[in-house]
Amino acid sequence: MTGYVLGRLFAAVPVLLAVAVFVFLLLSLVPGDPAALIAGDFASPQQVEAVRQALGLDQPLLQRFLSWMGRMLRGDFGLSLFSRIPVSQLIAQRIEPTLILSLMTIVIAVLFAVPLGLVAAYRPKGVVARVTMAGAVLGFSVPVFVVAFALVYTLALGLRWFPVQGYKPLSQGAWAALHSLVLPAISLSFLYIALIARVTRAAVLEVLREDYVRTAHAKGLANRKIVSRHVLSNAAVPIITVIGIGFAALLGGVVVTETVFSIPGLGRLTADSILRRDYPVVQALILLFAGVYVVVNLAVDILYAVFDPRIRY
Amino acid sequence: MTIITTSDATSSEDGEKRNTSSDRFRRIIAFPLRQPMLAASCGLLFAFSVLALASPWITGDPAALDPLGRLKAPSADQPFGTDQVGRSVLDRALWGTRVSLSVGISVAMVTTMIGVAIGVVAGYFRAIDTIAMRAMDAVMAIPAILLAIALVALIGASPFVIVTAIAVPEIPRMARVVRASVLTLRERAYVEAAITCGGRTTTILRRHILPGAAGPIMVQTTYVFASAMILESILSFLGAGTPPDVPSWGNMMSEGRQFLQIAPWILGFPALMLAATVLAANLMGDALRDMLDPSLQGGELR
Amino acid sequence: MNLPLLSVENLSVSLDAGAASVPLVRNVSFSIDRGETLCLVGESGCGKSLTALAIIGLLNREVMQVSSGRILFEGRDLISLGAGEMRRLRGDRIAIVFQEPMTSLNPVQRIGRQIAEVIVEHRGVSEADALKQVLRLLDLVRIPDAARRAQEFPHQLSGGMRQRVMIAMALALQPALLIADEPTTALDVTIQAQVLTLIDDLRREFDTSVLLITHDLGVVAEMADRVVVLYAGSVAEQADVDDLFDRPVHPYTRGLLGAIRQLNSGSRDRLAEIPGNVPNPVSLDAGCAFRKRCASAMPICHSERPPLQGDGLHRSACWLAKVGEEVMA
Repeated sequence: MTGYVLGRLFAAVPVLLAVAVFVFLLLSLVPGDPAALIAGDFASPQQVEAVRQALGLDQPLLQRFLSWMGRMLRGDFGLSLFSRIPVSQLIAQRIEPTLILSLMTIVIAVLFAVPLGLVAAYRPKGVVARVTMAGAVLGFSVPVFVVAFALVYTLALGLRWFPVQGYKPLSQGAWAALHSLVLPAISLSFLYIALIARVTRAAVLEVLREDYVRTAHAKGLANRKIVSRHVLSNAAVPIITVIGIGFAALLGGVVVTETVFSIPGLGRLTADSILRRDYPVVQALILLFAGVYVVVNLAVDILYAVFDPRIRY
Repeated sequence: MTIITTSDATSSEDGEKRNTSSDRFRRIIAFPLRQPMLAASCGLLFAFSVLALASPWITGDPAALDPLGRLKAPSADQPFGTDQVGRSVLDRALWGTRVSLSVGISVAMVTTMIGVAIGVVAGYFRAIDTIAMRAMDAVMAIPAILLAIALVALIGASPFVIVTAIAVPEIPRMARVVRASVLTLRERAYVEAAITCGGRTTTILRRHILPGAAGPIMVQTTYVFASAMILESILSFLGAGTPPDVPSWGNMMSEGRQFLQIAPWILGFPALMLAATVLAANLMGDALRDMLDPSLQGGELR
Repeated sequence: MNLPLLSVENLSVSLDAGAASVPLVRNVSFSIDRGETLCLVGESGCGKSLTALAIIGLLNREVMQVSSGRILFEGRDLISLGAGEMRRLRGDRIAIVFQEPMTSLNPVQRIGRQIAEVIVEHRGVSEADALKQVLRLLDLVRIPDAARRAQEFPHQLSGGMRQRVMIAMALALQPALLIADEPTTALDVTIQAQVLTLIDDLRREFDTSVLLITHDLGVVAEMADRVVVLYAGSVAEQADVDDLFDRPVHPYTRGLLGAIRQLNSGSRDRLAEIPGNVPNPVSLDAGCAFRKRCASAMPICHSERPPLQGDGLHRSACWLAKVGEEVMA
């Protein structure tokens, strides 16, 4: 088990490294002189030159990359060009709503998608199966902000159940915070539900054909027990895999959803910083998102071993 | 249904020699019956393409302002209503078809070409496999939307950059699909035989590998086409896509959001058009996949 | 009066293929007494497994159904039993061991827990208590080092071990009837004999009745008290095992026995085989199902299906039996 985990950890390193190279090169693609950009519009040529030397921009690419990596690893992400606040501090200020929103979305998605996929597999010709599968294709076909506006129009503007936008921080009470994030979380979970429900259905259909499910019936077990002990535990691997893969879509969706609902989280910060060309912030956030994605999928890999004993050896 | 199909297949095999035009005609007529989903989604996409091509002739000027007819609800005169400066939502939505479809098609083509190249190379040449796939993993680790807006915002919005920005995050998935089928095809006896007999690599790839992988590639291309249109609308919506003066669905929705409460049609109609187009593309992909491999019926990982 | 433990009466199972329904088991009747082993013999596709699944109520209901007949078990008709009542019988009074030990165990659950599950379900004891009984059961099926094995997963066990686990699971609650559906087909030859001996020993110990399904007449000779030969979904012949081996009536039975006798005598001649193939159940007509492969087919075989007849102990469905003893020479 330890060997397996170490092996997975080890395999994640090159991916993260490749992401870092990618992000680094991305900013080298920027047309124009990065030093001039960082120094700002009103800087004199001397000031630009000073910035260039301070950031080591006059050095060769590889050396710049290495020193940049060194700073990133120490948690030194530099200053925001826009607000002149350290990037790490900016991220710390904005992380709360994004964290809650992501967790809520995953919980909503799993709570809806797994039972729907399960029922769809058990009664392939039933109403639930048809509606779920049609809804799943629809979920892939509608951009997240359209779902968001449809919910805002009906539930916020129409029925006035939820605020149209904005976020109440946890300091004002957990309930207020959760309530302000219900609509964003539902909009964000739409695609995720579609993804997980489809995979759950396919995985359960496959498991139901297995001989050991017949054995479970032959033992006279109640259906409920067969589902929880034999079917779901065997279908778990593809389901958690897709939860991990879908995490990238979730993080991307956070950028859009937070913009739509004016939530002061990391997603909104990302969108704003990109449009303001606030490079240090963009770099740090892309690295952070990619890092979270890699870590989540690492956790998924490790969960495999929990669900499937054959993987451990 | 099954029985009808079977007897149809047998009769056409029997009558191979007298495969007359009327016989072919009958088969074309029967196609929508055998593949209703595929036929319907193809039909819808075809209709949208015709609209896109014909929009300069069938609509008025999408930029024509009408200061007196602002925020008018849908009526017989303006079936989709008018926007905040009195432009016809219908005309603009029809023009928007051009942007979405051309971005979708370009991205699908670019992704397919590059993704297939990477996938074939990674699947066929073991030495390159690990490096190529780790690089693909890295690209997949960055959320597609993030990568696309970053590329567009940093380099600047031009059609070329937009297509590239949307294609880059799609390439790894295409490469993975292709690699997986190349890996299985490589093990097939006829490919082994061709390799053993000293066939040229390019010939083997062209004759044996690519035709075998064509099905999954086609399916994936359809999905890329669909998700490219969604990504384009998101880019426009966030203000990092098609320039605001071009009537694209994303731009229209972005402008319409301020008027959601009083004029939901400004946002609603482009959203419906987008959803219908993307839905048609996704359904086409599903139908193609089920047709190529019925055992996958109803969806696994994409 | 001494009723048999299980009596299958005129059982028919059919496949629902759209509008048409194809009978796969037709009018099969037999009974098993307490402590007795009955072998159900026939080629693949003859309906043996379907009969077993019908008895334990595990037919795939979406495509199969019992179209007629009764299955009386301990005086109750299993076919008219509700799903809940049937479920309470399964694993408790009636148990089954399947052919595929490699795939019949849940790969992600420890085997001790998989066996314990059946005890917990039917006896309502705690899992800890059930696990104690599991160790005794693993000893019983001669799995060494039971405490360690109970903690292992199926992939850590060999095929023979897994089949022993299946047997332990089936016998956990000392069922009145054990159905063994080709329990040794997937195993190595050396392991086969051990598993069969185990089943036979346990039958004697618990006075369990065994319905053993096999296509191997060697197994039949070893294990059976009585034999039912199935052909194309119907009973071709049934008799006590000795009687069947000494005086087979149906040409199909004789064909089967001929094949095995030559093997045993070490003859170098071409193996006696039954020419032709099992008929497609869709194409069965009014005549005898076996006539196309039968060397002694008569005109009547083409027009009329022979009824199952004979004395109470030895019965066969062949017109030859009616024509007279002299034909049998």
